[in-house]
Amino acid sequence: MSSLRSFIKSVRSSKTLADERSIIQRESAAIRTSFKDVSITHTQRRILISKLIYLYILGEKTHFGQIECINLLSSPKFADKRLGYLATMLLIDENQEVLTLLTNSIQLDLHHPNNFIQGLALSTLGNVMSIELANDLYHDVEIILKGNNNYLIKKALIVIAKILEKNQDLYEIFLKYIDSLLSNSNHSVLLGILKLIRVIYFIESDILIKYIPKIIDILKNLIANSNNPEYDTMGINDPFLQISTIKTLSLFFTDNSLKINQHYKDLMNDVLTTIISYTSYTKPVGASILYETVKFIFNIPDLDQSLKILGINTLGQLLSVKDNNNNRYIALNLLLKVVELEPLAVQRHQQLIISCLNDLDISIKRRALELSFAILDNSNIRILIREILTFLQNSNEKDLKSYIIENITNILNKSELIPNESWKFETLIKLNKLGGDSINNPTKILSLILNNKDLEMKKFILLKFFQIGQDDFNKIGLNLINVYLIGEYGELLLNQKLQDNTQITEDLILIYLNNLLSLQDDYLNSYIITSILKLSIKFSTAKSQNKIVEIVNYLKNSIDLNIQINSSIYLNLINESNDIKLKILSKIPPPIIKIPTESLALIRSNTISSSSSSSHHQKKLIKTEDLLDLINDNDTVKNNGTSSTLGINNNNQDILQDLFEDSTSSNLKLIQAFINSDLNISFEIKSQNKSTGEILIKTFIKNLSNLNEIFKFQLLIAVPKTQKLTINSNNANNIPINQLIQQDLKIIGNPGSNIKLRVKINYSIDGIDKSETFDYKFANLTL
Amino acid sequence: MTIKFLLLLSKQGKVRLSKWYDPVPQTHKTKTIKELTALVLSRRSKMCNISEYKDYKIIYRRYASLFFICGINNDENELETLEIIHRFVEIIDKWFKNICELDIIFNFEKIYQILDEYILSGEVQESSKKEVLKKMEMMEQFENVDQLENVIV
Repeated sequence: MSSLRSFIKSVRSSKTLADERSIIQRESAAIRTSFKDVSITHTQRRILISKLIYLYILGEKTHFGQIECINLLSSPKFADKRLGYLATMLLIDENQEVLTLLTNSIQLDLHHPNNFIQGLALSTLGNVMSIELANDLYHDVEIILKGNNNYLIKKALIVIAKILEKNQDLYEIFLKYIDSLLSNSNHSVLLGILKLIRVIYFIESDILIKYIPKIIDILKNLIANSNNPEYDTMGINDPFLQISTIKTLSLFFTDNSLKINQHYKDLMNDVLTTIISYTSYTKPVGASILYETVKFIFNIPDLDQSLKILGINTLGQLLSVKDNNNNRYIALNLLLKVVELEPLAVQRHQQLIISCLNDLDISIKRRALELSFAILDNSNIRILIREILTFLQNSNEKDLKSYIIENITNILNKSELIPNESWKFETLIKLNKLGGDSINNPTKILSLILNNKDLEMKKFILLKFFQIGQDDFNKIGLNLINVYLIGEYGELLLNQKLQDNTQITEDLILIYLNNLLSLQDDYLNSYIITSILKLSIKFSTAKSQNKIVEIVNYLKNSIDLNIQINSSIYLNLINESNDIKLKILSKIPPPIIKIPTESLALIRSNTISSSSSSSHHQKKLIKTEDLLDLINDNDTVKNNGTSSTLGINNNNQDILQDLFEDSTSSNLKLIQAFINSDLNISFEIKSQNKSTGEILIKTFIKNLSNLNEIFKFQLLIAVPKTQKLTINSNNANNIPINQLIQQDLKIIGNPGSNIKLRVKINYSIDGIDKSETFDYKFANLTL
Repeated sequence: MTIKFLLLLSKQGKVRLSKWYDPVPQTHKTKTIKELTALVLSRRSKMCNISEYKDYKIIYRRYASLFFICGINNDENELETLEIIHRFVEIIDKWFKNICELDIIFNFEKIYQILDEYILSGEVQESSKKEVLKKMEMMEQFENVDQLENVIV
């Protein structure tokens, strides 16, 4: 049998992919055959398993070796066990049948006199935990907690956390260990118990409140004793444990439904302030702790004003660290979430945000842009727009350019923000000069120009746009605008002078339109033909008239049916008398784009919501969805799942409240619990019987995708063990595009108890199977 | 801190190590590795070490010719994950005394064993470098005693 080393070497030295495949397949077959040979020694068996792990790393099939791994770990030798367990953890996962063969060996090894073998059994259990293993072995793991070996206890605690994830009902057994383990001075034991507390929190949070002071003490001690060589990381005492405590505490202090006394809150505020004051933001480790702290702060529902400002300033510091774009990424992300709460505090970091526009990473640029728009108001509009236009000039990313044009056009539509009209149109001209190739929505820009009453200004804009269009034919969106403008106001262009002093003549305009035909863009052509028809009453010379007929004739041969039809009709129309033509071809009223009248705060919230969904997606949002979004913004419920609802802004809330009153009141009860890029899930309380502790909840699952249907949707929900849940079966497993399905939940439990759900969803979209888990707790609602 | 997976990828796109803390089928692993290889290798060095992938985040850092890649949920701490990766590199570097890619290729078992003493089911279980190495040292001794017995028998 060849050694592992020579196998690896031969794979590495293979010249071609086919070569490599044949070596791997040969070896894989050889391993299969050798496993069947009963006479091979333990050493040889170990070599086979090592090779199997190598195959696993290469991404090859290894299922045929699963039983052999389990056989190896039942050997009495340490080396065999070590490798056997290692291979088991890699090759077998919790969903496989063979796992049941493992129960016995793990159980025996959990009581082995050798601590390291106990440790191996625990590690394996932590990696492959099924509900059966959890039920069979929780007691054996509990025994380890009663011992005093920290090496085993730290592992056991993480394993127990995993056991409880499989079977929540077992949590009460482990409650009695929390107090003494929190007093353990071993950092890794503390890491373990904190993890366990975080898991129990989602099962039953109230009973854990009493441990808050102890956890705060752990954190305080960590900060106070900076000199701890064993755990020191760049002068910071055990950053991992610090983050773990902050994370654990944040669960409690950001949960609205828990009654936490003021004393604890004061303690917590003090510690948070201390961390921010004493942790160095220039070191990466320090930054990771500060980041966790700031995340915590922004999730506190009744947040102290000074703490809020402190948090935002900390993010500003993180942004200021030179050449660290990881800091930028996370800081901009968080600032985007809090800009609604504290726009002015965020605005103070304007310079830093602008400087992020020059980052080399597009995801950072995008966030900096979103944030720049979010902090924009009449105090900084000139500076910000100037910076954004500079960015536009140097940008090649089409997505970002369209995003900028869309947003600036919207801003230019808001008269309360605009310093003066000439600034507005200068900006508009620059915008189109720099980004004319990325205009997605020309109508808004047209509306700006056409609604302008000032004739001189209009002439000026027409000239500038015409100039830009003349200079560069490749700006597709701009071409469209120009063609439309020429059709409506071509006469205003006449006799104006271009940059090189050429006078604009009828001829020049017609040549321009004629040249655009060479782009062979049917969409553009459909505008050109109308535009040219309109020119037939504006342009008087015979030469122009001939040219117009020539162009329309040319377009008659277009392969586009509509253009063909139109050109035939237009040819007849051109020959009609001027009286008739003047009536038909007079100017049409400029398009009115509804200019939103909300206050700035709401404009901000729009910018943010557009940032979460991609820009093209946003346009298609229908009204009811907007409503759902608003509810989400306004929702004080803390969501422990993946979505990130922040606290609320009082001003904002009022505005939103008004909006609600206009809308149907039945929607008031609809609570969005979860959203990702594919779908959102909302709950509606249908009916409730307080005396029997019974509640009916409707669940709505909506497909947010505009492209893909969701298939095989499956909703699994668990409630605390004191309650009973019935779910009616899905009325459909597939959710069509932009449609929703409904499912009814009935929960029965002790009247007055909290309603918490752990929800798992499985579905398939665009050929990808996905699975999500989140926890949801209804605030201000009990059975 | 819950890590979904850890991948070690060479700059040629070869997998040097993979550890999954979520139970996912092999086909899913293969697909994810393929897509992440394309994603990570295409990112320029000046870009940040965080990227979005599907509905979660990937955190990666390049050490010499190797990329260390972690998948985490969106609400996890990205900067902490970078520290976790860095700590892991420090530990294996100390164990191999100046580690290089070849050490990892030929000694993947050791790397896995060190990883299992450092991270358990996606959680950092031991925040002391010294302790991880000490326990590894002791396990090596046990293994050597075993081997010795083999020779004597």
